[in-house]
Amino acid sequence: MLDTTTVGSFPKPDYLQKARTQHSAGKLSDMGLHELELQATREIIRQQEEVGLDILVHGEMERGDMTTYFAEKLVGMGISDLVRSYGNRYYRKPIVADALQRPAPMTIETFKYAQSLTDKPVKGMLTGPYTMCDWSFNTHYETRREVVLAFARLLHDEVRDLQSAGAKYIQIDEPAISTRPEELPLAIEAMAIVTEGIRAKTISHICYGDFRTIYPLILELPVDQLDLEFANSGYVNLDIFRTPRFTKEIAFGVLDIHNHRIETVEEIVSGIKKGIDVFGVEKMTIDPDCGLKTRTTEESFAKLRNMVAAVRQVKSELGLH
Amino acid sequence: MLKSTVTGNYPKLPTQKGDINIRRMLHRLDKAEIDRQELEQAFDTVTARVVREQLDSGIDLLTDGQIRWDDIVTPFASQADGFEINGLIRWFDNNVYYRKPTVVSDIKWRKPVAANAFRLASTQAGKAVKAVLPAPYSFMRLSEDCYYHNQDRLLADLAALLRAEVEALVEAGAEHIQFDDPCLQYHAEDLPLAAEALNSVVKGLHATFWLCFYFGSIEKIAPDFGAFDVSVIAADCVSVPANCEQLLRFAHHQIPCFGVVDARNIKLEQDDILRQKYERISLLLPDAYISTSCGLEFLPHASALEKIRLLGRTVKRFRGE
Repeated sequence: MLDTTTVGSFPKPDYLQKARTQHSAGKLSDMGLHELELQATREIIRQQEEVGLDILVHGEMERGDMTTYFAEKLVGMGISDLVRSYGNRYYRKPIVADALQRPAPMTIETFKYAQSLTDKPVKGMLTGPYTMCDWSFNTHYETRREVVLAFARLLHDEVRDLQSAGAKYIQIDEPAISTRPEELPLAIEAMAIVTEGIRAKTISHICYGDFRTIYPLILELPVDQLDLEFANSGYVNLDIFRTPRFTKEIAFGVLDIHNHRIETVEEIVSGIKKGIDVFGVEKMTIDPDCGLKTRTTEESFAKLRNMVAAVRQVKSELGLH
Repeated sequence: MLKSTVTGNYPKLPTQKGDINIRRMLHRLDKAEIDRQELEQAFDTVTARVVREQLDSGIDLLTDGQIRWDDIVTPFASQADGFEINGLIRWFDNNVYYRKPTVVSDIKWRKPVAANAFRLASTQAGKAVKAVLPAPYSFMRLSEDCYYHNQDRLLADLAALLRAEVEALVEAGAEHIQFDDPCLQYHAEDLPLAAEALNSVVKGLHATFWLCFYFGSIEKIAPDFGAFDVSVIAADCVSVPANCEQLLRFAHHQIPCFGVVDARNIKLEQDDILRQKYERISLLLPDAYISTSCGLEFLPHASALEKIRLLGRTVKRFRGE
């Protein structure tokens, strides 16, 4: 109840950014880069513990982008040159160029390492099948449905392996799911394949879309918890979830991760109370709107410090200690 | 006669090492390593390259590639009175985002936004270049109104702003001016409103005006194309293949432009498939344009270049050149 967590990514420290550039230029070995990724993972786990979060993430220090990372691990995929995402931000878009296969687990080693560093639970982090399809070029499969279901089958194997490795929480992000409401049934069908028979708590993060177009059908997404943004819109999108009643657990976004401003404890408390009014306190986890990788480390932890303080204040007011 | 054109934007980053890289130049501006004038020169250099690539590809009617723009509305909102530019919002059903203009006071045009790039591209091209603007209705829909609270007045002021832009373009020699109206397909009930606003923008001005739709189905608006005082109607026939039939059926009084080359996927169309489409179109219509399905900036540069080469080549071959 009112556990605190984050959505997944954290900013990479300067030494890791530089190392990634050197690695791309062939001036740093795979092993050299990997050592620095582990160092950054140790630091981010320690920082999350220090700030007092309840459920941790490994910080995605080894990932450049939430789809490209998996594209590099899968057989059948390639990576394009840069395409623009917004403003002056660009990314390398994955390409589905052949039949998809998972030759080996993609996230297990990093999950195990991060979990070994803390007694708190660490989330297993994946990108969902619908988003993997939607954010990739496709030159192989005839239909989008074929692509989505091919991703779903191999992601199921990854989720099963994460559970076997001890993950109590597995997050399968679907930020693209609100893009085409008419394809929501396909995304639901795919997620059913991914989470079939899984006992770990499953979570799906969805952002930057119009929730009105996917609610209430999104409640049929076969995960235990939906992780949604609210601070970015000034909490005006909360009303969408009043009717019909929200039936899942909610991870409630209270920090605008595209804004440098540090939200005050008071405004986060106010936001949480608005959320409680709609979702009920027993179903809520509190987190930022989205991954923090676009902020600086200082901004990220200043925001999180206030978030944790706000949750403590609300718990105290509600007598939840 | 079939003629080729492109829809609007074009990748800003080059494939060729050593060519001007706008991303890097913007980073350098942020670090004060270059000044605004050097950035403007870089924009001009890239615009010239984009024009050259279209010319070399055999495109009949070019655009300036919108190299200075992030999207079709914020360049105009940020240069006018009455707007603030706010949070990131998804650009339709793409993994691309834009900053939503928020209307906070009376909207007033200050200076031309599109004319300079048009003039440069026109000089470089030595032939007709198509200028592209947002249609007033989509400008309204892509903005957040926190001031007018009156759709008619807001739309009228946006139309006045765009009319000033059109006057500046006509004065700069623009013979083809395209209005992008991608929101109207999703709000067909507003077509009379959208038509009235657009007609007020072009009334009494002399140019070939275009109305362009992408991403969605034109089925609900196509029967009323005659309400718009424009000469060309363009539609994305890749995202919704049935749009091709709608254009054939309803573009009686206007020249249709068929967006049949996919600008959102790197997979290259087969020449003979395109040829079949051209044959069908030219059997039914003496004059038509063939274009990309939408702006090319969803693609990496090398793919965009391949697409326009394909477009230019197949249309020329079809004409027997």
